[in-house]
Amino acid sequence: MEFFKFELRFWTRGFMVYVFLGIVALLFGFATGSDNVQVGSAIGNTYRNAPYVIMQYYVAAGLLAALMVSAIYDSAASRDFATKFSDVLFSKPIGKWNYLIGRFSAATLVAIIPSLGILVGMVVAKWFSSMDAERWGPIRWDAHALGILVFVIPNTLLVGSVVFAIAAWTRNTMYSFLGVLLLMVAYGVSQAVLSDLSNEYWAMLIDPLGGAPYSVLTKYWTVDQRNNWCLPMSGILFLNRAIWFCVALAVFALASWRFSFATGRVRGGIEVKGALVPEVEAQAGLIEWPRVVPQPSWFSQLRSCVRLDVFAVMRTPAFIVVLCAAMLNTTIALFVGATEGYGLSSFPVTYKMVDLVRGSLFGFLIPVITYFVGVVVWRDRDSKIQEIVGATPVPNSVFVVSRFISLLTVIMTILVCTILLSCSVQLYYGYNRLQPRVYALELIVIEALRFGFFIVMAMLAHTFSPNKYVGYFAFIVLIILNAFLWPWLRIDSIMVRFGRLPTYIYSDMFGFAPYSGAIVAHAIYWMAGAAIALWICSVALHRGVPRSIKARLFEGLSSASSKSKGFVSAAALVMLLQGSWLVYNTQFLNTFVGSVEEEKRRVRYENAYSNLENIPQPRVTSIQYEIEIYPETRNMRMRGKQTILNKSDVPIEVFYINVPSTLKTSLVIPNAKLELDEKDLAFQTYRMHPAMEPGQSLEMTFEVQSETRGVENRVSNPEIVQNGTFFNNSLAPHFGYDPDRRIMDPNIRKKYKLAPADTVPELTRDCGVACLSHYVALDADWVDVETVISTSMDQIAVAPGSLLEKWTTGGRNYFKYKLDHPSLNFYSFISARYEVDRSKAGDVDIEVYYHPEHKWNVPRMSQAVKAALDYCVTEFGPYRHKQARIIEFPRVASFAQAFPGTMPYSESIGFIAKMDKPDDIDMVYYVVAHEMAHQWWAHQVIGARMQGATLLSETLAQYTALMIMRKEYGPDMMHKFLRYEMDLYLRARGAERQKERPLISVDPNQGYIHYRKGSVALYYLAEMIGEQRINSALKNIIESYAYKGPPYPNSHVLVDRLRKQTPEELQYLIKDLFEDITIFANRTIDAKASKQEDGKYLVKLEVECSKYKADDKGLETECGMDDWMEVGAFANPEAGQRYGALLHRERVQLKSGKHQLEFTVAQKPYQAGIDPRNFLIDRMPDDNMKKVDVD
Amino acid sequence: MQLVIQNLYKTYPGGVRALDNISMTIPTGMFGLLGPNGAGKSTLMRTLATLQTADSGSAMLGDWDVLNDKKRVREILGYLPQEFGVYPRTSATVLLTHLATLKGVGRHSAERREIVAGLLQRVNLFDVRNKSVANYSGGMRQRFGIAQALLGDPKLLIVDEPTAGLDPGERNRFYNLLSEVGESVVVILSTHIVEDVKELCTNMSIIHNGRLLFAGSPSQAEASLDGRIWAKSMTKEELRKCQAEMDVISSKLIEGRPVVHVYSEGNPGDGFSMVEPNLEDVFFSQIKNSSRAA
Repeated sequence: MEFFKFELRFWTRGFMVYVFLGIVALLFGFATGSDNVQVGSAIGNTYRNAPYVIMQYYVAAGLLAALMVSAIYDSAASRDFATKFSDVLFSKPIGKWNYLIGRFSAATLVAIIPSLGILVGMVVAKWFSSMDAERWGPIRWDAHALGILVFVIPNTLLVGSVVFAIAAWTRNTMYSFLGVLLLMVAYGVSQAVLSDLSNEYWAMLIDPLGGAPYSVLTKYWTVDQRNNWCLPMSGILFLNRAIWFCVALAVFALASWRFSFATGRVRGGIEVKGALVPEVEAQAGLIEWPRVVPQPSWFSQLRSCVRLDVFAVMRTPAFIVVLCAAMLNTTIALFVGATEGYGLSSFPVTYKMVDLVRGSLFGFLIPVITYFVGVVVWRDRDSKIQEIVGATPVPNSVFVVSRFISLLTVIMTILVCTILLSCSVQLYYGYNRLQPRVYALELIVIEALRFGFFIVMAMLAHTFSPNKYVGYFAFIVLIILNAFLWPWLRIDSIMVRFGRLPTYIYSDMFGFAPYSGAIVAHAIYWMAGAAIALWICSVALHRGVPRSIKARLFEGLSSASSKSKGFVSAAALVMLLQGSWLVYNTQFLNTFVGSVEEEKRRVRYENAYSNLENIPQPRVTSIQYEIEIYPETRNMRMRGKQTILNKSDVPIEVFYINVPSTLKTSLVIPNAKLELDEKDLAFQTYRMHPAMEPGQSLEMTFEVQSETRGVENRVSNPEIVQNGTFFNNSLAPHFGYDPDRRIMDPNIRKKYKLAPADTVPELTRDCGVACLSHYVALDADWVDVETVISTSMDQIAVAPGSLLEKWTTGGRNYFKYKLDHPSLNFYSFISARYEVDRSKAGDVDIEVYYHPEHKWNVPRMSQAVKAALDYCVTEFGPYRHKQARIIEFPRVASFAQAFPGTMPYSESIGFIAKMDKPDDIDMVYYVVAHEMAHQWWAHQVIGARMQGATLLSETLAQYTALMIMRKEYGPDMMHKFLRYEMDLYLRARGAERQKERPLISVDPNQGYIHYRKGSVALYYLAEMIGEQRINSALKNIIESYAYKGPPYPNSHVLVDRLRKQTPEELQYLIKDLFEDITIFANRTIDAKASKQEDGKYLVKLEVECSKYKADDKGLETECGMDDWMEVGAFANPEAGQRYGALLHRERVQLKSGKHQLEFTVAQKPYQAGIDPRNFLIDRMPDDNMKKVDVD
Repeated sequence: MQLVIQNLYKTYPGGVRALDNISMTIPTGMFGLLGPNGAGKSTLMRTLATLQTADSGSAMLGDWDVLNDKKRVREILGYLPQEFGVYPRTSATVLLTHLATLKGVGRHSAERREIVAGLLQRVNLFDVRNKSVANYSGGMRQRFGIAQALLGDPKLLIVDEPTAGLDPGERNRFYNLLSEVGESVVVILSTHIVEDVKELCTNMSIIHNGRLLFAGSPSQAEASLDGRIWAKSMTKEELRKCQAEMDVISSKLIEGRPVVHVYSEGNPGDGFSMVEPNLEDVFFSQIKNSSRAA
């Protein structure tokens, strides 16, 4: 008791605990009260203080708290030894258990305090936040209590017992932190394991902090459930907590049992300090010593200092410990990172490895630098040798440069090791395209520069601080200021953010080319800046007795040599010249719009012009392009001659035209006078004299120039590059008010007092004006396009349609393309140094344009194109283009997109995908099939611009791709694929920012519905009514609507036809799948089987089912059911397989509630249950099947 | 060569006057700087060792301006601070080689190695040269300190309280080492132990509260009190009375009884007998005088 009280008093009187509490409260207070700070995953529409968020914060705090907790326990365990008080204390008659338990329980109590900061922060944030009241729920004390009980207390005990044990054992703080780091690595492993759906169970158990079971169990919670539910401590969460609680107790008990007062150590503990050196007496004899006149040399002094400083860091236990943890983490990340979600592997390409290194290593390197800059700067003082060293004839500059170089050397050493590690991982995966140049430029040049600037900033902070701790604090303040002050002041120029280089993206296609100029220019500028900063460090160096910064600066400045002054003047001159050049380049040659300004412009646009939304405007009917691409200079000129037609029945007096905001544009319109030119809004109005009569057509021309001038603050137009130019016709001017330029985020809309808005109009069955345009292009229907496109000699340029002609003039390649069939006014222009793979499917040319180094999946791609063509032509209708092209483009974006006859595909997805395991999902095949399907579903039938439009394009493309894949890979593979689709759908529901809609009225931005849920729904429907019935509905749609409109079809067109194809007893499916949000809760309670006399098995099942309908916030209400459900049984799976052979399946009609079922199977069943193949949307898919008890 | 210090002033930000018009001339040989703790010795030493600035005044070693031409002074300076530590996990050879490089001793590494080995032999640490200095005993560490101070060919050797914490044997051995060095260069030894100065130094000064109280040779110092120091052994009660009435310089216990030294122009009677003044008497009487004057 005495020890308990004493320990408690020690902490409550100190300030550390309160500082910790304050940090946690601030962090989580801001995370709760501000949209700018986010902890854990995004919470979308959920209340800021929902119970789900509260619990998530207690989970998220686990890692942060672990560090604080370990500091507290470590101190409790080793303070007596560190202060040598142990000699006094242990001579007293005290009980060992008394001592240990007293200390430990008090430390536990204290260590819980910091985590209470979450409670404080969240409760206080509600009052201080400027957010709307409707984004807040009531304060949920029960969730806080549960969070503390389930996460904070067990985690504190676990971290505490490990630290306490290690500290009592080794008496060395460093090893305690190593223990904590190992726990963190265990956490990291569990997170990595979690990314594969089939490992969920084990991942949930091995996460020592309980985060994995929490996130898995709540992953499908909807907004409503997140707002109202507290996850009870039961099931696997309880198991996880129990396991780790026992681990904690066992560790503590073991350490206590081995602890002994006699030596003040745990028996078998580690001897930390080296033994004293045996005494050697001075001898009296006279030995002359060499006397030499010193000739100090700057470089040999520097070399010696660097050597010692590097050693000082690298031989510190702290460094070794952290380095080991970092390398372990990076190794795991590298090995695991090669496998992405969807059970898909990709080639471990170098840029990917570099990104993995950034993600896994830098989190360690930044604290390492922060800590060791302090260590190195204050090392002479800390080891009390500063007077000796200070009295040597070493110029200050040697110390400063040495510290800088040493820290950089340490970082470089780690980076080089990591590069070797990455290369080994690449080789391990049988990938031998190692790209040392990319590694070198990314990690050794660019990252080393950034780290260099970071080090300089830290050294500056320490130079201006009277001691190490103030230095650390000052540095952190400096970092925060450098990161947040400028955005807050609305200054977007990176020239004020110390050490900031422009953002860039490496691509195998263009290297760093579009960015290299800006990077080099800023690097020179900041290198000069860093030189000045180092010079200041050297002038104001801490040397000799401690003095104020003023005194040091004064003396340093007055005694600076002319060489030193020359150096700083030169650096200042470079910075000034380079700075002015940069200002000229970024502010005058180029302009950039800050993010806030951009927002304001969009608000102004909406406020000023939204009333024009339905005003008739001319529509484009045909365009002839002349496009010149100059890859070397990143310039582009696009001239278009287009025919426009007044399709409305009123004369058009005014043209409203959106022009590209960043490009130089000129328009020539006959009979038109420029009336208004809103440059900021990139919006022009032209008055027509005379007005354009209904049915009248005109020819107008436009010219758009993209010109790259000097370097920019942020590289704009990354679509026009040295190799891999890819842009679409949205660069051309277009008519009418463009609703896509509105801000759609509901919270930002509220901030600017804009009324809530939907992306597109509501779905209406009988639509008038709303069905007159489709959702892809507002100012055109079906257009003819002809293009003459030119590029440099070594590149191929591609435009929509058939290549009619190809020639060379003036050292440039020219190509003439023409669309074979009028198409949507939505197509791309591309130019790069391509290799082309050509083949034929009937009359259609299949062409894959690819970067020569990315040839791996090219054959699969053209195979998939053929399979898709085959399927779609047979099932839906003819393909109207004479070619199908897949074209690789750089990883500035990572998607694939379908344009008429052309499918640009990012280098970062299918081109690097790798399939070597038999159960890998063939993403290449899937994506190509999806994009090919768009040639029918979007490019032939396009939905009217209203909700549900993407059901006709994206969902049908998904469906088509699934059917094509099923043909190739069989239904088992689809089962695996659909599990991911289902998972993604259910997960995304909780993060919905507006309303979850049913499929029929899906919003174009709700990808999780039109792709993910769409896949699941249509696959199930195909399963229930048959693929043929669906396809005949689809064929009918093609027949009625292909290349037709306006008016354009809406989603009722599809749903009505499907309803017609659905037999009477399954009609409920149409409502459940398309018109409502339907969720099931099906489970198998019991599964038994007994062998019959005929050798067959009689399976007896007890199942329970219920069906729910959810509203747009995810509030579920049970509804009665009388549905056809599948029941069945699987055989024992073969080794390495997840499912055994399907032994039996039958469809039975079930009402809500429990049911007894029986069937016989020929083989011994392994698993049996309801909805065995997880067709239905079920929040707990894993309890559908149960292992069968066989008598 | 001699070190001439003139009108040195130093006041700390808190208002403490650490150096108050110090002027003295220090010839080659051992020079003792005597003063109680906090007298300003270390301030003076650090100032001469280029680690601290004076507010005003000058210090010239021959032609070299010690206070302003720091870089050149550091080349001919050997400095052993009062308290010093070493880098952890660093052996004597590595550390001394590093310091030698910093000082610019040895044109190339082979020569430097030789010099370092020679010095370590000189202070008899050669056998333990590859052991971590942090684990040395106090005496050994102090010898390492002198070895680094001797690197190169120092013309000015500053040794601040070098024997604190050493046992008498170590102290003797340390001084033997020091005295051999101190023949051709200016050696300034600061201490608050009177015997140290008496045993080693040809010249000395006493400072107290930042002021110079005495400068000269130890024998001069003793001679200045000739015939004015009287001693008596007495009981503790008598001591109290005596302290109230007489000019007591010091009292120390000899075989458990206080023996009192008093300053008196004539015989104070009462059982006092005249004793030969020693340096300690000089030290204490100077300090007493200065405190009284203040």
